[in-house]
Amino acid sequence: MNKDLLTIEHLNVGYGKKQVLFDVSLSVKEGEILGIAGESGCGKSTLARTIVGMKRQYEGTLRLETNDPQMVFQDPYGSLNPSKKIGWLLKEPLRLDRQRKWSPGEMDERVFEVLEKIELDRALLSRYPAQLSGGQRQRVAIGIALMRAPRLLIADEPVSALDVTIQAQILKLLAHLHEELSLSILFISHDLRVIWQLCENVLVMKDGRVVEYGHTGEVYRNPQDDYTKKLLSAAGIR
Amino acid sequence: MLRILDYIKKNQSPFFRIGLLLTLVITCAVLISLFYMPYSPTAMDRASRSLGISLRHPMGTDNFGRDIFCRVLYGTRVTLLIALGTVAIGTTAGILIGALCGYFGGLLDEIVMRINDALFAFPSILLALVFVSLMGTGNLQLVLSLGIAFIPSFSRIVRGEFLRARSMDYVLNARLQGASHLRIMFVHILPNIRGVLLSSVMIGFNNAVLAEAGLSFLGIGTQPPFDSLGQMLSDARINIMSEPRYMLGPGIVLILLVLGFSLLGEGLRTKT
Repeated sequence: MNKDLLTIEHLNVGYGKKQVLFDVSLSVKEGEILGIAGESGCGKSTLARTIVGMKRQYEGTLRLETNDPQMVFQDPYGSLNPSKKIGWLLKEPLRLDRQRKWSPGEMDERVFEVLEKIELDRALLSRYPAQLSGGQRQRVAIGIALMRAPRLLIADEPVSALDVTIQAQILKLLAHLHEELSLSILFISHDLRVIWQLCENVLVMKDGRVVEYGHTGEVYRNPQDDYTKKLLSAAGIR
Repeated sequence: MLRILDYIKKNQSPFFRIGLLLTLVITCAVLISLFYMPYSPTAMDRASRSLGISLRHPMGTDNFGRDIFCRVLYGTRVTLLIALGTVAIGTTAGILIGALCGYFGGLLDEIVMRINDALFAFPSILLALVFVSLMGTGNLQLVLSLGIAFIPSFSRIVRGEFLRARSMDYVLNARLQGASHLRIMFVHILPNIRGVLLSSVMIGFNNAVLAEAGLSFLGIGTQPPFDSLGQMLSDARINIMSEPRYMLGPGIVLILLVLGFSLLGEGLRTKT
């Protein structure tokens, strides 16, 4: 039995007086992919940002067994610094690594290693993000997140801004990384079909509350909550 | 260097090209004058007083027998140096203040920006006039006064850009990687606003040239022997009825200089 990498119990988060998350509890085990589903504005991204420490004010318990969770953002156009070359962007997490100091040679080696994992050509290292396609950019974003070999990756709608064929490629890449590196992934998406393809477990959120949580197959076959049923039928699954 | 050449090739804006040409011609002439000047701009010569336009004196000579062309070259050098100093002070302080206010926001931003607004309410030249009267006349005082007077406009532009950038995903990503605030501000965000900054610098340069010329014309700008274009115009004013030619040289160069930087700034702005 794999141990829990992330445990959240009774989490409440708000912005000022407005509460966004209500009593959220979940856990992600080592090597697990947990899908978080829900409509826009239901608090999925707030949950992600609280987990990675961008939102520090919260109530409840948040236990993280790794100190270096990484995140992939929705918009591959906005998440890469447009004034830096891909090579520079991939090395930045290593330059900022507090655990160890990387020599230039080690950095190059690690960049090549990660490039292979994200299936990108070395020639792209000297290009700017604007010279890459959406799919390539999202691969680079995933590459940046992988540079310091994290155990937990939080992917906030990583395929929503991409067209269907590229979506499939990125999902395949994530599944491959999950297997190869036994990477735990918290996969956030409003698209239940995408979650079906990738995630072992799913958590459905509505207005900041968890409405359903369980094994993806079971939840999809036998949804208990009306909202989950509505989402599934909207996605054309039921 | 290659990137600059590449940018020049790519920027098809006619404003940019004409502006660049004007600026380059004037700057090159000034640079050459550093090494070679046929006549001293300050040496008086009784025998050559008020000579007309000729090959030896392309703009003629003034009532003290000084070659106007050489004086214009020297004046342009002084004007450019003062404008450069002004923009350097305005931009450096403007970037620092704007970056801190835009990135951190909050109370610091509120306080600094309200002071900024109060200063912004006065035209830069009026503000510079106040500083000159406080600090006294002299070239260094002039550069300082104009520089301080230009800080509010630069810091406002930079603040707006940092405010926009701070919530962008690439900044959040850098924070997540553990980048310090200083690194995010100056390594991650600043290079992304260089287009806006560059065009503001050009416009600022332009305004600095005009402000310096204005103050020197009023007699509180550059002091002899460092005659700037504005100072030359002021001197030539006395003979405007008898020898309007004295004004033509510095006047035309001043117009071309301002036009050049103005078009360059416009060209950069429309491209970015």
